[in-house]
Amino acid sequence: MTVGEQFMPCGACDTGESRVQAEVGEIRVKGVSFAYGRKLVLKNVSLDVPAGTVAALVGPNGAGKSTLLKVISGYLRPSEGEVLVSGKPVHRLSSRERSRLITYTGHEPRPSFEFTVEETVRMGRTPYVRSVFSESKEDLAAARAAMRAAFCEELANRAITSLSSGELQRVHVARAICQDPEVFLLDEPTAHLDLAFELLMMELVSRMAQERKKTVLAVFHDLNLAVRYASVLFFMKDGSLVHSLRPDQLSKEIIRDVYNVDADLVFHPATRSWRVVPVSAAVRPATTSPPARYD
Amino acid sequence: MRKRVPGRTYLVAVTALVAVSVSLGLALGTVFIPIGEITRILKEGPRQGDTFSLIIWTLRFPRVLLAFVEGASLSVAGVVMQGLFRNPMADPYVLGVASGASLGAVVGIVMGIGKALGLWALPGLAFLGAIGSTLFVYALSTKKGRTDTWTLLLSGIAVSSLVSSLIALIMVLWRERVEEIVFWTMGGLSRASWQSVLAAACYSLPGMWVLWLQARPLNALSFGEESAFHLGVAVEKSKRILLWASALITASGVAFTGPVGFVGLVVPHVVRLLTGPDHRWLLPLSALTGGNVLILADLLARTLRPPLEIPVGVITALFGAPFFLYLLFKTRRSGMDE
Repeated sequence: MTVGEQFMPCGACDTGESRVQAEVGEIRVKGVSFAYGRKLVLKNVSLDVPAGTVAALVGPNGAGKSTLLKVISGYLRPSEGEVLVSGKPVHRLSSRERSRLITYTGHEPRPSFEFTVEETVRMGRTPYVRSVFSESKEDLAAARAAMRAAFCEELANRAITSLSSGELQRVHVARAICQDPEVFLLDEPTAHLDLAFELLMMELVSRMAQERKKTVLAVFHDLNLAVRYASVLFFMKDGSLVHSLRPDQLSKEIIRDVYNVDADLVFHPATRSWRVVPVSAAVRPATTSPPARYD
Repeated sequence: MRKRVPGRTYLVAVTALVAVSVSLGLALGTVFIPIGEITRILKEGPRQGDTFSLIIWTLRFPRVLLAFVEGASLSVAGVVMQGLFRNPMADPYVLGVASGASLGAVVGIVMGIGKALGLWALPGLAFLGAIGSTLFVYALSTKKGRTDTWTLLLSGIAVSSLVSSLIALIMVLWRERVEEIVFWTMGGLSRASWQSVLAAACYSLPGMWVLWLQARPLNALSFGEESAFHLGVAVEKSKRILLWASALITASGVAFTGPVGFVGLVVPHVVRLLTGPDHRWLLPLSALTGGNVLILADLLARTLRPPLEIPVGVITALFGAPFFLYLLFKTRRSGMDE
């Protein structure tokens, strides 16, 4: 079996509870549908992410990537289907148990009060602390280590209200690391970062998966970043999962099918990865996702 | 970042201030009682035939304690509402929660429940009014876990005016009770007794304790409900506890002291500015500070023009209203609710 087949949407290949033992950190999405009001945003999506993998969710705007991530996180409840993480049904776990297993970092509102960066990162220990009042030495050490890992140690005493978007994003990732879960769900983890921090952040994410066996499922806006760092790409379009493949299986046809864009694929020797170079946009059929925003 | 006063330092300082304020509250009034006398009287306990003892034990001491408990209640309710609505303009009066509590209490007075069941029933009815208006304002102003400042303030105003007219209507329909209602809505701590101190403490202290146990969830909620959810907070459960317990302590405050505005708005602000937004410290420190502030406000109310007593709500409004306006303009300038 090729890796490509292994990551195919598994609704057909799996019959419910056939697999008894689940690996810690493995994500299984089974036939998930979700609607905002009457608008169906996810249509029968099934996918598997093995433990210790970096997987990317990619696709055009409005494809349902962020919604899928929120359903997997437990925040949104699917109208059909279920999500298993480490073999446990996410939507039936207690808050504490769920947040020890999964963390989610995405677009957060600006905080309203002047917490320091260190206080913010420490909140990642919320699922573990027992006392109302104090954190243990281990909790404090975990917060320090997380800030170091996510490049915001020098921000420790800054007020969170005074940070730039990029700095805030690093703090959110630090808090997620401090939470020490098995699964990281990241919605555009590099959206506000400059070139240097973008690379550092992606290296960090790769290391988390390789060295610490953490599972990462991230939404990427930048297809090249996904191709370079993820070991599996999930392409979504109009609420459905349309392709699941390894980066080296990517083709012009797939990009045209998903994005309606003619692109060239160029191999970049230094990074040993394929680069997608968009050439021209095909005319968008009226039936696909909502029109792009020009703001 | 502005330097903060460490929680412990502030705790020591504010406790010392409370001791000073309590002493002043016992010593000053139409008759001055020297500190030496006060310590003797407090040691000896209440004694028949001793005028000073009578003043201290039946008038000033319960009054000072009631002021402390209610000032603490209103401040804690303010902290919780600001944290929950993620909005520094929230407080029990601005949101109309206290007005709801007033309506409950007035209905109680008209129905004679206050007389029949004694002091204990009034806060219960005030609580019904408070929780009703809390849920109403919350539903009106919060969309997808975000609260818009202006919708919040306007809903609060709408609820307050609605309640004022309902109270006016009640006063017209039950004219024989007008005097009782007016006396109550004037507010003030002049009716303080040991019984009311005990009743207020029985409602407020457990309420404040329950709220303090929610300090961590409240911290997480400052980052929005979704972030709190991902950090492992049982968001809906925590919100329910926070709303109900803060309505309870507001009701206790309103039932025993009548309308005393702005304490719940100003105190949390000042304490947060000095010691930081961590609710584990902010809640107890605001309680002590708020208690202290209301003792001092009441002291001013009864010593400015003796033997006249200015309603304590007037004093707090004189200091608090300009602060509220300052905040409002600051919020608008910084575009905080964008």
